[in-house]
Amino acid sequence: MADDILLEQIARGDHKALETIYLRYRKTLVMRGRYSFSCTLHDAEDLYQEAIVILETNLRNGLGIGTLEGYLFTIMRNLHRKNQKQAARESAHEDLELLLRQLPQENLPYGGEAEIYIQKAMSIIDQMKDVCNSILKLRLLYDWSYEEIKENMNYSTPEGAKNQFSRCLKKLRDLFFGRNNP
Amino acid sequence: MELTAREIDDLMAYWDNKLPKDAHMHVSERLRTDPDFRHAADETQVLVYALRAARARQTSHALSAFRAGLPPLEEASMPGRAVHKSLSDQPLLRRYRAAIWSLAAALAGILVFWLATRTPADTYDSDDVARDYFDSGAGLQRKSGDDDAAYRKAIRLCTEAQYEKALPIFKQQFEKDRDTSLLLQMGIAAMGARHFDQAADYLEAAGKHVELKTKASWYLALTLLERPSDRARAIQILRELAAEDGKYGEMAKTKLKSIAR
Repeated sequence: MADDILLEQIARGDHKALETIYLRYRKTLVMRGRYSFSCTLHDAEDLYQEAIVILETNLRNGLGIGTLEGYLFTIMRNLHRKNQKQAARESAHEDLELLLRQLPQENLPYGGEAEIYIQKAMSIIDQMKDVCNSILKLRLLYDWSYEEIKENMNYSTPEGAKNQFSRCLKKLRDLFFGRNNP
Repeated sequence: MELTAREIDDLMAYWDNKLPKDAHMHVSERLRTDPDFRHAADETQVLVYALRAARARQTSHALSAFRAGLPPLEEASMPGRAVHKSLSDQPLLRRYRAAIWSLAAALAGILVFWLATRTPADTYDSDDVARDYFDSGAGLQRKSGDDDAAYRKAIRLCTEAQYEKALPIFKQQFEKDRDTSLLLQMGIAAMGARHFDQAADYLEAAGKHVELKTKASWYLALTLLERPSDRARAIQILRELAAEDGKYGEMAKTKLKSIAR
């Protein structure tokens, strides 16, 4: 299957497509990293793995990437060089850290530690077993349009999907920021 | 404050810099002026970014588990493609380090040779020459025209070695009243600013006017001495000047003697 089709599937949250891409370029890029960065195979594969994670994040933003192999190697190189400016923009974790540093402290119920918010987000997603879990992930994480959500979740109109999303986000915000009654 | 789906869509596009300019400005303005909207937006942004970071974390864990089930990669014995790629990936400087050092050494040698063999008389400070000219009041000798205040300001700037500021004023004056003496001032000011190409152009133009020819030729010769490719021409001009009587003739003779040393 061509790379661009796999990338589209990855952008839809398909982890199998991600694993396919991982296998496709694993040997070439890990070996290339091993010699270019003068590191062990294990370390090169660590960089490669992180580059794949960043690829998934960046697909949501729809960035133009040229050849996939070249793009992945560029990420690996930036990670290896610890280019903070570039790597920070490529890492969802760094995005959150930057955001928490910029916001006024009174708006941060859990302080400035990104890890706390990530753990909270992970636990809340698991808690939300109903339709909100699906619609929030599809819209917020995978950037599905309301038309696509309507098709896949059997809403009668995109407006219906939009309204449900809005309600779910309010529920999530209340859960996340501790405003729900236990 | 509860956000509508439309507001959330706009905010997500705003954070990703995907909104059209007008919509972007509208959201910026609202964030700036509506504290309830700002608070709700901040909370939502933290939530969305945390969810994305959580998703990245989950992907990373899933990939780690997937990788653990794969056969390990074996150390290849310098696979050709990888070596070729690694060489081509190296920054240019590292790849051609030896050649770059050799070139730098050669250039340094040429520079040392040139510095050792050039005569002191070849050098002069163009700023000093220009300042001497303007300090002498020679620049004030022009046909009176309009905007004398602007012209005097330009002369004053030249006496303070602010040639870059003076040049546009001279140009404006010249465009207005076409006073050819301004070509001489402009040429000498450009020389002071070390814009030798520009100076040569103005001084060549000034030299076409009989009343300015001698003076313009002198300063043109000094300007051309700064351009190695025009050195021969500069010497020719100095020889022609040296054949004349008067102050510039004497100055040209002295200059030619110092060049010959």
